[in-house]
Amino acid sequence: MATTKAELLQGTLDLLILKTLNAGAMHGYAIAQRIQQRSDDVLVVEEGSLYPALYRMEAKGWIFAEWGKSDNNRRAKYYTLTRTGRKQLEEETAVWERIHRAITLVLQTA
Amino acid sequence: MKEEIDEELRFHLEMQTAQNIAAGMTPEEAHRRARRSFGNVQTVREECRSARGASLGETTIQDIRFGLRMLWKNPGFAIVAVLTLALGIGANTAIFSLVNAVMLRPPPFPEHRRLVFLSEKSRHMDDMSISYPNLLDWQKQNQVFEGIAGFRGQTFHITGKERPERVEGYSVSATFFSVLRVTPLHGRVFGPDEDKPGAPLVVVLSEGLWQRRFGSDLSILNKPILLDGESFTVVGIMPRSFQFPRTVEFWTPLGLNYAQEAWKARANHPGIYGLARLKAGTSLEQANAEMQTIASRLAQEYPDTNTGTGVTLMSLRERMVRQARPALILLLGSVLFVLLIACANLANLLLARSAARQKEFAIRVAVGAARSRIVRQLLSESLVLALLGGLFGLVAAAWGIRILNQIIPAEVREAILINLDAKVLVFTFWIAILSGVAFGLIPALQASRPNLSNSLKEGGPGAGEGRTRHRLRHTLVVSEISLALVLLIGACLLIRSFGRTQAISPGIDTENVVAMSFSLPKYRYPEPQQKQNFFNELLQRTSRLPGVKGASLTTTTLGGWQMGYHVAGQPQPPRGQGDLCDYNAVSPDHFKVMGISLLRGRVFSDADNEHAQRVAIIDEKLANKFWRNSDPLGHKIEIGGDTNESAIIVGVVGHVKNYGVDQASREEIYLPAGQHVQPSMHLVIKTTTPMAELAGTMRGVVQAIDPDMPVTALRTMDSILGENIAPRRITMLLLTVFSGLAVTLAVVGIYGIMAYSISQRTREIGVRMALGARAQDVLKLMLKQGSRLIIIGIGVGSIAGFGLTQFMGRLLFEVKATDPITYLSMPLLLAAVALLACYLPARRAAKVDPIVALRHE
Repeated sequence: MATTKAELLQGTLDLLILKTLNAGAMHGYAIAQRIQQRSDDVLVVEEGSLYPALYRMEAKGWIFAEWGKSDNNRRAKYYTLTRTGRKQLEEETAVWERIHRAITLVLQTA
Repeated sequence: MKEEIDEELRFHLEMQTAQNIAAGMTPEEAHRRARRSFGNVQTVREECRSARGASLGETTIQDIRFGLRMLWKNPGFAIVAVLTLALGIGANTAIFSLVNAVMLRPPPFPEHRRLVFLSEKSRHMDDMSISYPNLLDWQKQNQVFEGIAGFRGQTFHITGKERPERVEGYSVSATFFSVLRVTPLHGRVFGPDEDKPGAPLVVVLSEGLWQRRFGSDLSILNKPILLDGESFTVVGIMPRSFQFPRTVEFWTPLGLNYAQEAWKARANHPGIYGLARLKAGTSLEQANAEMQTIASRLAQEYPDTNTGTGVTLMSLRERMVRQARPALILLLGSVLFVLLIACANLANLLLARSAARQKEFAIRVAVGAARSRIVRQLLSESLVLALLGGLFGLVAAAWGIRILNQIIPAEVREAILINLDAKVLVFTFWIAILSGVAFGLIPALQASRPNLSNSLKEGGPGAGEGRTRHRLRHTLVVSEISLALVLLIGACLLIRSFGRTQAISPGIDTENVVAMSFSLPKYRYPEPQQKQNFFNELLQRTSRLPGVKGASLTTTTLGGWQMGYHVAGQPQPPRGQGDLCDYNAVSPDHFKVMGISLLRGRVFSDADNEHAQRVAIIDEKLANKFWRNSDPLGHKIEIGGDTNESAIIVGVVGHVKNYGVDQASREEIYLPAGQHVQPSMHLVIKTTTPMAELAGTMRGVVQAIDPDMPVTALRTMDSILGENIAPRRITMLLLTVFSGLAVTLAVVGIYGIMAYSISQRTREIGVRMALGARAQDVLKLMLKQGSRLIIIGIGVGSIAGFGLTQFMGRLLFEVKATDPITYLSMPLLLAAVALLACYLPARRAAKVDPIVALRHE
C-alpha cells in the first residue's frame, strides 16, 4: 500500500502521541506503529521527529519515561501519560476540533 | 545521557529491521531500509538533546573542554593571550592588595566604626596635639563617648641585667584598652587608680619585648623592671597582634606625667592625641557638635589658653586612610587602564581568529544552532582563557607584592602587611571573569552573526571582513591609544613634579651626613650641668675621630618642635593667636655640618653659654617677615609662651624645608645648645667614614663616656629627608612602569591590527600595483590609514587625559595639571611610536610582488 507522507505540524504530532499514550504505556517504536496503523498508513511519523518530540514532552512533564523490558526481552524506554499530560491532551483535542470545524466551514462555502 | 538516546534509537532500528524482515525483505535490505528511513542519527541525537534542553552544566563542561582544546591546538596564540592577561590581571591584583592593606582592611578592633580620632584645632593647625588638662575636661564633660583615651609616644631606657636598650612605646590613659576593646595575653591592664600622678608605677609589655628581653618567662608578671632608672611593675603582656598605631613595646599610664609642671599648663601640647569610642546610637556629627560645645565652654573658662581652640574629630578609619587615598586611587585607576588595553588587544586578536572560523559558525547557524548557543560557547572559550590568565596573574602578583613590600619604608611595613588574603583572591577571580567578558563578548556577538552566503561560498574570502568588524577593530585600536596616552600624561606629570622637588634645595646639604639620637635619663642626669657635660664630651670625642669633617648637636633633625614666639616691639597678638615657629637648640658647628648658609651676622660660638647673654639665630623667612628692608640683628625676640625668654638676634641663616620640599614650612629660630640644655639631642656627623665602621666606632665612643648609655642606630640625613617623599616616589615609579606597559601593549596592538589588515588586503595591493601604483604609493596609503586611527586616538586621549588629571592636583608640585610641555611631548612620543608600528608592516606590504599578491587567497 502506498503511503503518503504528510507533513505534520509539531503541535499535532504532540496531540497524536498524547492520544496514543492515553491507551497505555509504550515505547517509541510502538507509538509510531500505532499512529501509522490507526491512521490507515496515512500518517507516518519520522524517527527524526518522533524522538525529539518525546524528549520535549518529557521535559515539559506531559509524559513520564522509564526503562523496561520489551516483548522480546530487550531493554526499551517506555512512556506513560502523566496527569498534566492528560489535561494537555484534553485541551489540545478541544483546540484541534475547533480548528477543524473552522476549516470545514471555510471549505464548505462555495 | 548520550548512551540512553543511542540505545533507544538502536532499539527502534532493530524493531524496524525486524518488521522489514517480516514484510519479506532480506536481512541486509531490511537493515539498509531501516537505516535510511532513520535519517541522520547525529542530527536526531542533537535534536533530542536540545529538545530536552541539556542541562547548563553539561553544555558548560562541553564548552570548557572545547575551549581548552582550541588553546592546545593554537599554542602560539594561547601563550601570547595568557601572558598578556597574566600581566594585566597580575598588576591589578598586586595594586589591589596594596589598596586592601592600606585602605580596605579595617582597624582590627571590635565595632571599629565607632572609634574616633581626636585632636585639637587651632588657628594654625587642624591637627594639633591635645593638652592634658583639656583632655581631662573632655573626659569629664562629654556625654557622647563611652570613653576618651589619650595616647602619646614615649621612650625609655630599659636597664638591668642585660645591655641597656632604648625602647619605644606609648603612654596611654587607663581607658585606652577598654576603648579599643583589647585584652592582654597575660596579666591585666592598668586601671584608673594607676593613671594618676603619684600612683604606683606599672607597665604593660608587648609580647615582642617580653619574648626578646625576658625570654617569655611568665614569672616577670608583678615583678619590677627598670625604666629610666625607675622601678615599674609589669602587670600585663599584650599580644603580638595588637599593633596600634605602630608596633611598640610597652604601655605606661599617661597620668603619671601629670606631676610635671609642663603638663599641668593648659597652654602646653605635649604630643597627646585622643582616641574615643562613640556610645551606641550616637553619630559622629552629634559627637562633633558636643565636643565643639565643650571646647567653646573651655575657651570661655580659660580665655588665656583656649581661645580659638576647637576639637577635630574623624573616624579612626578615615584618619588612617586619608593620606594615602589619592595616590592609591590613581594607581588603581592606572593599572585598570593597563588591563583594559590588554583586553582590547585580546578582543582584536579574537576578532581576527573568529574571522577564520566563519565557515564553522555559518554551518552551525544554517543547521539550526541557536545564536545564543554559539555566543555562549565563544564566551566560554574566552572565560577559559581569562581564568588561565588569572591563575598566572596570581603568580605574577605574588612576585609583584614581594617587590612592593621591599620598596615600602620599613616603619610602616609591619602596619600594612601586603599579602594575598581572601579578599584579594576573590578580586582576582572577578577581574579575570570581567576581563574575559570584556574581550570575549564583542567577538562572540560578531562571530555568531555570520554572513551566511558569503562564508559558505566556495572560494569566497575565507575570512569575510564585514564593514562592522573593521569598524570594531578600529574602535578598539583608537581606545587603546587613548588609554595609553592618558597614562603617559599622568606619568609624565608626576615625573616632572618629582623632578621639580629634586631640583629645589631643601636648604641643607645631606651629602655624607649621618645622625644618631641620645636621650639622657633623668635619674642619672638630673642636673643640667651633667647633661651638658655628657654632650660636650660626646661632641668633642666625635669631632676628633678620623674621617669626621664636623659634628654638631641639635634637638631635632628636621622640624617637629613648635613654640610660640613674639618679636619685641611688635604689637602683642590676642591670646591664642600668636605665631608659631619651628625651634631648635643647636651647637655652634651645626650650620656648617648641615650646610645651612649663613646670610647675616654670625653663628653661635662656645662663648654663648649659660653665663652669657641670651642669643638667637633666625632664618631668612622670619627675617623677611618682620625686617624686609632693615637689619634684624640686635633686635629682641621672645620665645615660648609662658617662659618668656628674651634673646637677641645675632645671625640670619637660610631657610630649611623641614617637612619636604613641596610642603609648607614655618619660620625657624635657633637657640644655642649651651643656653638651652635638653635631655634628648641628635648628634649630627659629617664624615667620609662608611656607616658600618662609624657605627662601631661610635659605640666605643659612647660607652667610654657612659657604659650604661644605649647606642641607637645611625641614619643618613638622606633617608631622614627621604621619609617624606618616599610615598610620592613610589607612586611615580609605579605609574611610570604602568604607562610603559600600557604603551607597549598599545603599540603591539597597533602593529597587530595593521599587519592583519594589510595581509587581508594583499590582493587589493596586488591589483593596485599591477595597475601602476608604485611601492611608495602603497606605503603612503597604508600609513594614511594608520595615521588616521592614531590621530583620533591621540585626540580622544588628550581630552580624556585633560579631564582626568584634574583630580591629580594634590599629587603635583609646581606643575599644573595642564602643563603644556607634557601635553605636547607625550602625544608626539606616542604618535611616533605608533607610527613606527604602522610603518613596519606597511613597508613589507609595499615590497610585495604584485603577481604573488594577485594569486593570494
